[in-house]
Amino acid sequence: MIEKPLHELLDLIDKKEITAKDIFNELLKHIEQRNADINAYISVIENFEQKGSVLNGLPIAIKDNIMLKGTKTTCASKMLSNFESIYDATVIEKLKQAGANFIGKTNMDEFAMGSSCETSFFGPVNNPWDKTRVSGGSSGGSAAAVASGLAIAALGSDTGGSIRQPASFCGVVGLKPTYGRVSRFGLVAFASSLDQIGPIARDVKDASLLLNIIAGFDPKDSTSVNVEAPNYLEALSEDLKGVKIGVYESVLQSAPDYIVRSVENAIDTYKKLGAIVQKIDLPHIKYSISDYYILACAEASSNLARFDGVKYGFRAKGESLEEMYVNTRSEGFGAEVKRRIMLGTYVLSSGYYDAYYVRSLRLRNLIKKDFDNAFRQVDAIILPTTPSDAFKIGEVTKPLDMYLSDTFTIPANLAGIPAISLPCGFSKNNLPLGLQILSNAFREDILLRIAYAFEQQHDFHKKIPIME
Amino acid sequence: MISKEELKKLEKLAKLKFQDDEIEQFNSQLNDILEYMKELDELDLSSSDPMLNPLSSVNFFRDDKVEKAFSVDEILKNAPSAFDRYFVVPKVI
Repeated sequence: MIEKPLHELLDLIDKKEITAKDIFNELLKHIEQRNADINAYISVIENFEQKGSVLNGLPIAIKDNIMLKGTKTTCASKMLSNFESIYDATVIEKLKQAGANFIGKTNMDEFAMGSSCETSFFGPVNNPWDKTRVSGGSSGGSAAAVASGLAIAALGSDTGGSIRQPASFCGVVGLKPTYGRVSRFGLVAFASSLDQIGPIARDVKDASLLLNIIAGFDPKDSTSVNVEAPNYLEALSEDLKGVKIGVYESVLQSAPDYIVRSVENAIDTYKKLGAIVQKIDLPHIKYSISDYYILACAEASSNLARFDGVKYGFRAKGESLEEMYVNTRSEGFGAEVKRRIMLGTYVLSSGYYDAYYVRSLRLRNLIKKDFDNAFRQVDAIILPTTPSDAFKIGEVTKPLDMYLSDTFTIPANLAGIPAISLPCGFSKNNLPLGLQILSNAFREDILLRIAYAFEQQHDFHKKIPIME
Repeated sequence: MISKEELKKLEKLAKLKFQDDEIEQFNSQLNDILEYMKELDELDLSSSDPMLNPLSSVNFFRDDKVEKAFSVDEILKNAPSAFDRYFVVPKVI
């Protein structure tokens, strides 16, 4: 029952075969039995309210960097391990209006900085397909929960791939909307020009349903855009005649064989569906990782300056105010967070600001222009989500190696365009692989249609990891 | 590459302090990353404007009227140390 997607459960509720409360209780029971194995949740919510509207009371899991009033929002950090939200994020308000309940706050990389959930103050999230491996990050808790029946659907956040990569590693659907499509009010900021909240769900239809609820202009987020959101469910179709899909060769050259094969299989499916597949070029894309880490760390160093032990969060001892600040931040933040703050401080510091930060802003413009050009020729671009299947916990030890694993997901954040990952096969380790699709800004309609059409030709999204 | 002195300067700016046993490894990790980023040096970026935000953003203002805000209790709820309507911190002077 709890392995069914939202839209199927809503049908069953309509037919009065089950109630949302039944689902909620079954989920709670499952969490009690299984969460210790996976560590998907930082906190679990046990209160259920009878509700109507679109979601009819069904529960959603929320990444622990999103404010849900009355819950702890820890960002998986010692710095906020006792912090209680005093307001709801806009996406939470919208979900409440749509009749959602909430089942818990999911585990993540500390302050969303990471690609494996290994930087969480509360321990890593184990991949439900193989518990010795990572779930991916930073929304690993959300992805692992949805994949293993510990949640029906969840919200995550994506700055450099943090929704799509864990979705790929866990065999579920993860969507990063266009920058500005979904309000960031109530999302603890990591990199303000890159962050977006998005759904992680069992199938494309569920992702579309959730996007319908959370999308929209918000006056409390001045970066949200006043562009009307269509009904994304109406965009879903299996007819792709005339649709142009782009593939860029250099991606396929750099990935291992089994990853390349998964994209080639997808190309076959798309041709069968009547789409036109053609080559495109993105000349500056190979510089994405460097560009991203300069900009993201710069923004993070600024955003995390607020954590000083004064108004909220962890506070360390100090003889003076200055000492209190330094001790609080040095003890409250983990190693990866400190590394990124230092890198960000460096690239913004006098003498380096123009050489690193400003140059990176110029490069970002070029990367966006590459995509603008590509979308004049095609409706969408397909590529792998990740350069490998889920790696083992503890396997990737060098920070730079971890950053390099974001190579396929980062460009969409830099360009601000929407991107989705959906299951497209399994590796020989029986671990899920993800297909990634990108479309032009505010064209989630065509993105979801292309994703849906592929999904319906296969049953990858119906596969569930075996849990004893 | 970042020298030890520059690292000390950054620590002051970021209000962080690394332990002696951490600093060596940390310095080498940072330098690894900066070494990788040298690939950007080969690019001619002079013809491209800096792009802060992927959207052509328009500033959004609200009317200058007092709106409902949080209560003092809510604001102080997560304070590590509070007294009356104040956040309490170690002596500044």
